[in-house]
Amino acid sequence: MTIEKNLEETKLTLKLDGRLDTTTAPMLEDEIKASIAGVQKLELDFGGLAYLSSAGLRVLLGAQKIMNQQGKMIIRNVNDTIMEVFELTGFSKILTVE
Amino acid sequence: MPKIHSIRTKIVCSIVLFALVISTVLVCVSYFTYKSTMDEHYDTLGNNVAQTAISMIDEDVMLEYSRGVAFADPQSTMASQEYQSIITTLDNIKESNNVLYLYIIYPTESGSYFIFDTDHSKDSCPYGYYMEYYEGSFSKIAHRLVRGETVPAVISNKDYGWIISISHPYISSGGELIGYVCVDISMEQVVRDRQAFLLNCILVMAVITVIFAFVYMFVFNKIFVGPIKQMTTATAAFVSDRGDDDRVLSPISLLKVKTNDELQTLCESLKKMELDLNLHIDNLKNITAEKERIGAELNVATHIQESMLPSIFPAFPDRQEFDIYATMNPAKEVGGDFYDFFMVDERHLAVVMADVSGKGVPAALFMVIGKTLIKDHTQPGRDLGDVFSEINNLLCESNSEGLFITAFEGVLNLVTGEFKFVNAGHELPFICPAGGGFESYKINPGFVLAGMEGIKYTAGSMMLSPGDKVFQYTDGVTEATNGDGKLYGMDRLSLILNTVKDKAPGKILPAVKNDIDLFVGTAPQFDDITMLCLEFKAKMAESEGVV
Repeated sequence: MTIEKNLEETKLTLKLDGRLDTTTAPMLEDEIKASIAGVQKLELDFGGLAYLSSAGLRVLLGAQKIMNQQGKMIIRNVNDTIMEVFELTGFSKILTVE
Repeated sequence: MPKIHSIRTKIVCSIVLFALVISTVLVCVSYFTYKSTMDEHYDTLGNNVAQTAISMIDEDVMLEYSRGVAFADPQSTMASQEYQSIITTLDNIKESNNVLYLYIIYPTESGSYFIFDTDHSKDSCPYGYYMEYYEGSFSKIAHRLVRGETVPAVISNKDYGWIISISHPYISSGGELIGYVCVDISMEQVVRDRQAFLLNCILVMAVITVIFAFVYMFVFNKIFVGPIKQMTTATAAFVSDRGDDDRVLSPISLLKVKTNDELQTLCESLKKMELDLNLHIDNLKNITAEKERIGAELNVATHIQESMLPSIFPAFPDRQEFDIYATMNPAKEVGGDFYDFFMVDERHLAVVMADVSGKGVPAALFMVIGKTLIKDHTQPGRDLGDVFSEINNLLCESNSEGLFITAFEGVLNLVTGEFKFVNAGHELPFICPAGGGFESYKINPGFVLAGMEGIKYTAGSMMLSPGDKVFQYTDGVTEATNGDGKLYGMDRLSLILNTVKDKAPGKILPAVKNDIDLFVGTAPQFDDITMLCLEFKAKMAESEGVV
């Protein structure tokens, strides 16, 4: 998986490509941990994401909890398979998917 | 491995070779210097003899013999007393100077006339004897001879043996050429002398080379090969002599190389390497021991986890109303998946299927908490929505790692067939009505457990009839991946379930697992594969369940 990072003042955009699973989730977690301080708007672009596992969901949940404190988190370009995962796990209820 | 040649042998060979080249050059130079010196010496000797002869014979007498050489009668001339006395004089000179031949000739362009010859053998040339020059040597200098010039010595190896011929012109006081006094000195002696010199040179060189090679070999052995051998032996014994007893000094630490050169540096660095290596080995020992301990404990943890899941089937041999079967194949030593089933009371059977996000020890610990909480809170008559809402809050309290659990719990009323369930973000169950086929049963999903505090879960309900089956699983089933990165998926699961739908739960699960194995092939298993199948066989009589 590759992560394309773009930070504009208080808006952080992360564009993900590949598979977000047990082996790659720590990458995203570290990336978010490193850059989230002071961010008021976190945008995750899932346009290139093919697969999302429960380890990935855990990272999303952690990010959502942080952003609940300091701003807003939006997930864009979610494909049908991943949307199904969000719905099945109830994540669609707590995430903002656009 | 190619044959090992000792450095000593190589060095000695190269020294011998070097000495051989140097010796050859030296011997050649010496030989040629000696040769030219000797030639010069004989040349001078010959000339001296010739000059002596010239001074001993009267010029006028000589002139007379010279002029008449071609015409006079040899017999009468040679018989004269004067001629014989000259011969005697020349003989004396020849004898006292150790000369082979001494004769006087008168040269012409093509040959020479003999005037005096001291040879008394049958080959002697009488007065007036004309002899043509041999091809080469003398014929080359003939034009100079007739002019009375001084000529170089001629070395020849013909009829008279190996000789050096020195020809000295005898010029009259009037400037007229009277003849040449020729002195032949045997070169046999000269050559013998040269050979002796050559042999001596070679012998001396050989002796010097051998002595030098031996001395060098000895010195080289002492300062180079010896220390290297010592170090080789010591390092070769590094492992075998590395006892546990620290008081015994190792061969490397006992090495003594005091050569004050690179070898000493090498020896010191070997000693340092040994110390570092020992330190490293000790470290590694500790780490390995620690790893083994952790491994052993993980093994124990795996056993504990396995024993937490009910695994004796048939689980309820005395219950005729239902049949239940469940399996878990962990991906790592300790997994995050779990299933459970237990009697809530006499007439209620609870089934649980759950998956903790993440893997390894953290997931396993969280699974234990989750499993215990679910079993503890599932009480007779209690709404499942409330149960999950409370468990969720409790899990959130002790969740510093941000883990969560997707869980499904169902409680079957064995009397009425009502199946109440609650879903916290878990996979949808497959339901197979008696006589029908397995189909995914759509449930409104709740949020995962431990994800966020204060979530409200709502229970759902459906009616099961005798013969109906419920199949529940974790994402390890649908997301089993083959070598091409393809997922097993819902469609394949649905297909295999419907192929074996009429079989007992105890046969359905192995069939599904077998199908997954066939699909995955040799690709590694990433996630736990957990499945549970419940068959509702008969309703329980109303009276039986009343407590």
